[in-house]
Amino acid sequence: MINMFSRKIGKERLNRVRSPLEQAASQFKKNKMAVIGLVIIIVLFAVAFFTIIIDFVTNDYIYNNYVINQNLVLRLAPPSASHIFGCDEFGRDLFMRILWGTKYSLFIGIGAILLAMFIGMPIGMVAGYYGGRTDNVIMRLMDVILAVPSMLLAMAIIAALGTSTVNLLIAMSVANIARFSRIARASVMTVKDNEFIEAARAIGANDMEILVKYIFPNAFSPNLVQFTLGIGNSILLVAGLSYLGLGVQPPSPEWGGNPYNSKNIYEGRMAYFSISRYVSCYICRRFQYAWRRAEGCNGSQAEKVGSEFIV
Amino acid sequence: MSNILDIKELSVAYHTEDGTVYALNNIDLELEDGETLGLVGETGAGKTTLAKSIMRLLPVPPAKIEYGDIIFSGENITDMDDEEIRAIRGNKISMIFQDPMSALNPVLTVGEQIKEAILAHNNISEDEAWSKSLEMLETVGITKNRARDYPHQFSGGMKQRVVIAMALACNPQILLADEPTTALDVTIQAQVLAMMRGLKEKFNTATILITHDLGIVAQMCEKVAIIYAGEIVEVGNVHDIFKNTAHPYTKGLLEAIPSIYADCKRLKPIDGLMPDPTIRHEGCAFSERCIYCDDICIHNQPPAVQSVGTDHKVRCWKPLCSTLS
Amino acid sequence: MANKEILLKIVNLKKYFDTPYGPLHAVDDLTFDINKGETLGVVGESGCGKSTLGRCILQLIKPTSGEIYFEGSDVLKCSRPELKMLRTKMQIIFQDPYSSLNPRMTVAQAIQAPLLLQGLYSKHDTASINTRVDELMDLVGLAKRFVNSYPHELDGGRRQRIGIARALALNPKFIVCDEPVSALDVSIQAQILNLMQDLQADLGLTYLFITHDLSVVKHISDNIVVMYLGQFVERGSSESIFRNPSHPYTRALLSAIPIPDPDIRQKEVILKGELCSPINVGNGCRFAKRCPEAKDECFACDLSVVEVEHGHFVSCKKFM
Repeated sequence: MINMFSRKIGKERLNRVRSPLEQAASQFKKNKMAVIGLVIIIVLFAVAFFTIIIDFVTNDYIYNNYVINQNLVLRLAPPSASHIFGCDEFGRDLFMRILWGTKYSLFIGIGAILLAMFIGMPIGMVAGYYGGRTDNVIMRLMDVILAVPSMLLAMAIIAALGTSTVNLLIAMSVANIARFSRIARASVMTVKDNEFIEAARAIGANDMEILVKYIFPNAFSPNLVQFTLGIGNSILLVAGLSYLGLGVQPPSPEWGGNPYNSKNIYEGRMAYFSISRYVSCYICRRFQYAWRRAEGCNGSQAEKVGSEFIV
Repeated sequence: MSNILDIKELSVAYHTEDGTVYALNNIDLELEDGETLGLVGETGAGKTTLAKSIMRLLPVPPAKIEYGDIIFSGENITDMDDEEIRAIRGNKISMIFQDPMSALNPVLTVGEQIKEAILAHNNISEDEAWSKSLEMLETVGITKNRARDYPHQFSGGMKQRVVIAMALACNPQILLADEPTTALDVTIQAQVLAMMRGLKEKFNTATILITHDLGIVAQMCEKVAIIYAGEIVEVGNVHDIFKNTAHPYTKGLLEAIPSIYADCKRLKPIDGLMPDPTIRHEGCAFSERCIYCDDICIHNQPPAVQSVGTDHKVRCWKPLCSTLS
Repeated sequence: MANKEILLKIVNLKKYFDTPYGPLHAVDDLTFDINKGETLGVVGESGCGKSTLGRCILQLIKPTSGEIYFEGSDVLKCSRPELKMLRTKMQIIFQDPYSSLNPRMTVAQAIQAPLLLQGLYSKHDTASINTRVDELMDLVGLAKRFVNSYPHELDGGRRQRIGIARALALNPKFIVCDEPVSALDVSIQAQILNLMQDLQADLGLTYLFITHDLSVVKHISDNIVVMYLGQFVERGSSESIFRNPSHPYTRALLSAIPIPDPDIRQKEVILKGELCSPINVGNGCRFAKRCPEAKDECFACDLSVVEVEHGHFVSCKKFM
């Protein structure tokens, strides 16, 4: 008879009060790749904040003298001790430009997606909850938006409104509003037929209370996945638009804007933001996985989350 | 009569991130040719794990057969590789699952699905397989002209009949039925059970009928095994289990069923819950809930099954009926 | 029975759903009443409309026509605020202990949700809320240590107790129990049934107990209504229905229950065929197609109700 791990009888399992957040955190810690990803994300955010603070404190001194200062003597200089990544075609230190460019990609990318989520999710939730004609009308509107490729849509909006950061945010969020609304609608539809929603109605909750307190927390997960995936795409979109001259305007050192005039020479640099985009998506996905595990799904179910929602 | 299935000291555990779940501990079970054995237990006792271990359908990274042997028709199938076990599954040992709604492929007609099952194990032509498939449908009470219908066009009871037809298509030696009628209405259940009784007489398949319903066991089975917390606590012929109950858990189950014949106003439940399967117990797994529990029960594992009658075995320090003289 | 007060009265209740194939007759012309402090069992198989009936009474589904009188007043005619008030008096316990609890709420949050929603306590009054939650958990036999657990950490029996505690939170007078023990194991079923009986005695509750299991219904009900495909089939006290089951369907149901005694062989009243669809049903008895005693006239005309014994009604041509 096997006798492994025998413990005393009657020892009750400690009822640790573990909220989903605590459980997600402990799952997260166990996953080495997630932790590494988190570290990279923290580094990126630190760089972004660091540059903002420096600019504020030194009153743009470093920005003016090191980031946008042109020095044609150093034009296309190769990497050296004083210029780690070398210089671009205007003699500007590339390493400093990349550091100072972090905040544009990160914040505009995340900002656009957040805006899209805040607008798209409620629209989708209303469509999914009420169904019928409301659903039809809303979804056909969203279909119209989705019919146009997001890059072209963003370009058209910027062309119409003009190039500025606010317009850039608007342009980038429009296409994602439609995506979020579709996902929110689908997840609301799966949750709203559960009996606990009926139970909420039976104790006297009205529609708003049900949507906010009961449906939203349970339907949020797929949207979180779309959010994390969307950040990466968003950053690429910013870079793409800047590359075409429609996004963040020069001399601002946005990552995509860097190769604006020097496409042929700097193709290798593209790898930098592709990798960071991949990493940021990855760690968000691991967090999502850990959250789902904490909810009680087993490993394979938690893995499946989001894959069916990738648009 | 020889034993078609012999399970010796089977122990299965699931190794998960949250801990090890000891699903089955030292299971000993025998099934004779043509016999119907009822496996009774509550949720979490390990009945489905046992059935899936026999079919080797357990997901092997978390689950693992830690110890023990499963001997089918004299052959040890515990360590067989995938190909060998696939030759047995569906062909010599078949299984029917609880939920008929999800057991059938929605994009194939029912005739096709039975035909597939036949072709997987028999080297015959498609036409022959199709006519065999129609025969099977007739045997389970579905008219031939419904063979080209899709599963969604059938009701729950009819779907379960189709599933049974698929399982019996290759004339297996053992049929594992995992709660086959739990999802059905009571009048449909009566029809399906009557059909299964008829099939048993026709095919003489040895059956392990997994259920939590003691009424079904009393009407359908010759032998009964009671499983609790991953262990077989009592096994014997159906008359002994109901009339000479030996294990306190079996007794508790029998008394907890509301009966339309009894006139009592208050039921007698078994207090407490099944123990946590991640914790291995020092003593008897049922001791926490047992009203006859003693010191010896708490601290010592009951001896391996002891006989209390002809073919009646129990795993208990204080069996309710003593050894027959 | 002298002067039993009627708590709930249903008159000609109908609920039809519109489908592309025609109207689905979920509940067809039901009339009965329930006395205060008693349990009415509603028995039938899947598709008979018993769950729809329960939800119509609670107005989770709007009935197509008919009247529902609760404590004398017609609840179908009340306004929104009155309906919200009514919810404190009529509650429901669901069948599935897994999907009837919000997975994001702890036990305490689930039980206090009705208290906060109805404004009985303010959000800041944590002391009184906690006392009330503790009281309710004690009442249903849930150990204090689960107060901050999530539903997925508990088993079916405990989750059902949470559902019961939630239903009791507002001190209702009437509870619709929609198959509350069907999803539970036998030994846990017995625990929950005993608990519900104790609560009924202690708190003076009235139950509408919906189930497909005749043995459970005999145990807990004073009166029984048997339904088939939305129609009422037989109605009477629990004792008279079991002693003298009159309608062929009731007899078939009773005989279909497997007897937990190997020495008694099952009677072979096996019904032919399957349930027919409740969509576009014609006139006449819907059970006629499967009835072993059906005659031609059963398919044709509408049924009327016959009283076979005092208080025991059957809807069958056989008795006319």
